[in-house]
Amino acid sequence: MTTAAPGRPAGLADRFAPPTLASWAFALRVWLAMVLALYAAFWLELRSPASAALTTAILAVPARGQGLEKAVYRILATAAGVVAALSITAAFTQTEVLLLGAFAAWTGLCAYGAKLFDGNRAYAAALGAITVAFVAVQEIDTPGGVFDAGLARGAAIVVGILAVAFVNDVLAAPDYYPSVLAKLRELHGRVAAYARSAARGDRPDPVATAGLFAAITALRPEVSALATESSSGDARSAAARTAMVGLVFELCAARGLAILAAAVPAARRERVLAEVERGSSENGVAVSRAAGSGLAAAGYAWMATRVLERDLRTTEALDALACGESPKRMLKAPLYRSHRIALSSGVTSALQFALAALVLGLLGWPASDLCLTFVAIMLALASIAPDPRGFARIALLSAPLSCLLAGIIEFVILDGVSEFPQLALALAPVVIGLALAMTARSPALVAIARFSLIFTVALLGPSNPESYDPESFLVGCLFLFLAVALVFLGQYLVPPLDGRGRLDILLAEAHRDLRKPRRGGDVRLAREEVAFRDAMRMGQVAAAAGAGAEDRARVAEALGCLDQAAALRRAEDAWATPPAGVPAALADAARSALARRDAAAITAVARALDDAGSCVAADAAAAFATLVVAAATIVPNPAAAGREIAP
Amino acid sequence: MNGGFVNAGFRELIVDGVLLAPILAYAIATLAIVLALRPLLHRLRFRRYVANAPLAELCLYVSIFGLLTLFA
Repeated sequence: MTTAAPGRPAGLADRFAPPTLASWAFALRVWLAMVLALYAAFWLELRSPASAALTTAILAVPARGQGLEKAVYRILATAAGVVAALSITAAFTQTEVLLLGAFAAWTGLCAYGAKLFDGNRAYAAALGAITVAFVAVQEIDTPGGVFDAGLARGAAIVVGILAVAFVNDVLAAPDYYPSVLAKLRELHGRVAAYARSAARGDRPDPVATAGLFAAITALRPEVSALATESSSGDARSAAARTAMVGLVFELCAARGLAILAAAVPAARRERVLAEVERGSSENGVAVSRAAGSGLAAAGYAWMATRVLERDLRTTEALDALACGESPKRMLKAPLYRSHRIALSSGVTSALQFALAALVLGLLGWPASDLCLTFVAIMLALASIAPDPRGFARIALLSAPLSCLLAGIIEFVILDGVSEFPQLALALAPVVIGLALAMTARSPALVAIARFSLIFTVALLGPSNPESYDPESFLVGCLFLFLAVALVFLGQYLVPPLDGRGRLDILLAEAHRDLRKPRRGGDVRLAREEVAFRDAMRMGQVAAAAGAGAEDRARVAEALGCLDQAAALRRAEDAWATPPAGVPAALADAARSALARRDAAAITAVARALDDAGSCVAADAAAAFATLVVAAATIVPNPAAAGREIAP
Repeated sequence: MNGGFVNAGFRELIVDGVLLAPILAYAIATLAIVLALRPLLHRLRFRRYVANAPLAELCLYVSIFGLLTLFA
């Protein structure tokens, strides 16, 4: 029996639904923040007021918490980028080729960093490259101006951040935690349904299971953003993180339960489940009575009780999140990172930048440093996009739209105006319209609207006084198109790692981790936390896999590795201190079989444990259950097993 | 002559010989103070006593910033 993914696909009516009141409020806040940032930048006579407006466009997110965390990382990344710009310029300013090579290397390093992190930390890594592009690449012909450009950009960014924070606070932008809480509760319902299905012996579709792991782990960056939201942000973030890790652990336990259910008759399963779900104060006795004799049923009962306990702890963590309290037990959510994938991304970005610099150098056009700046910015943004080629396509659509909108604002609506109120009113339709589009349900429309807003502000480049020079505007548009074309070309000449390549690397790392004993870092982490890290890798596998049969088989293979890792950890912890009454020889045999990953030997120990006596003490049942699950998850040929399991 | 206002001597922020605006030092110091106060506000259940907690925290920031600028 397969478990289909919940929810119907969004139709056209869902994707293009009219904006809600909340969307209008968000769009108005974006426009007000931009106007306030520009006003403050003009009043302070900042050198690059457009950066303040650009900051508000980049920090335009519907909820407070998301924007605040992004703002903090924006400041830190800008500071790091300015230091890098000064260092590179000071070291290589006398040598053209080495200078460009250093910029390429820095772009590659930032792309590597972006792939190692997630959420706003990845954005901060990409921003390091963007900052160097704005500060050093644009001053490539006047290296003495790098320091002033860095300070000016930093000041403008701070003004932009303050404007966004002020408008969001005064106009009561919604908190982010209700959205995260709703998502976690929905996932909790899905995991509970999965567990109920698994308890009845159903083995859900591996791709749907992988999708569920991916949906849970995808909340990691959103959960971390809660910490900056308010004075209770740290507590809410800890509660959300504990709930998220608990959901992954419950899902892993439910998969073990499905394996154990196969060995228990249906009638006895139903009796055990009824007693477990009843949750009475005499539950332990009632559950044992329902399980009857035999370690198989006792092991099933033990695992079912563990799944329910985990579910209750997750519910408590969700309640703590709702109340703004810290959870009773705080769990970490370690990030899984593949250095090989990150290195590939870094090398690809560096080569693409070098290629663009080579083309622009050969063309020999004046002011082409602006084009190179756009190239660096787009490569940095592509490094944090889930699909770099998809990002290039979105940039291809956003660029002409941005040029058109910026041109209309500057030469049709404003056309020589020098008063600030007219500038504010001229920006309103475009900024509010694009911000409304950013709240659409269609991910493609959201991405196009976001990039169009950023490019439009960048091309418009509000300054005081405004120059209204059509030639420089057209040159800017031309270089933007050229940059998009160079990035698009680079994606094909130096292609990034595709989904199949990422799958190969992730699977290889999963098998490698299975072969190795638990390392120093893993020993310090709780079992739930290690399971979460494996689930993060599973989420990346699900994202990299396509819809073909071979990819589905590889997803099933990766899921098998996750099951095996979780089962072995559970068994090793259970047998680290052998249950009372178990002969020492049997305990040694169990530990040895687990260390060797020998399924036949593990099964033999489990059979011996069952034959040894009629003892159904909880710890003996637990030890038996962990052995049975571990033996079932160890397969000699995971690839073949993956092809058998996946339809 | 100065209308009764306190003549606050602004201290310049000097980082390795580079002069930075004093407002930057006050803003960073205020941020550090507010971040240090956050756990205390959480323990005191600050959100229950104000209608708009983020706005109240912003007001707290502005108040501390003003005090630092005047008296630091």
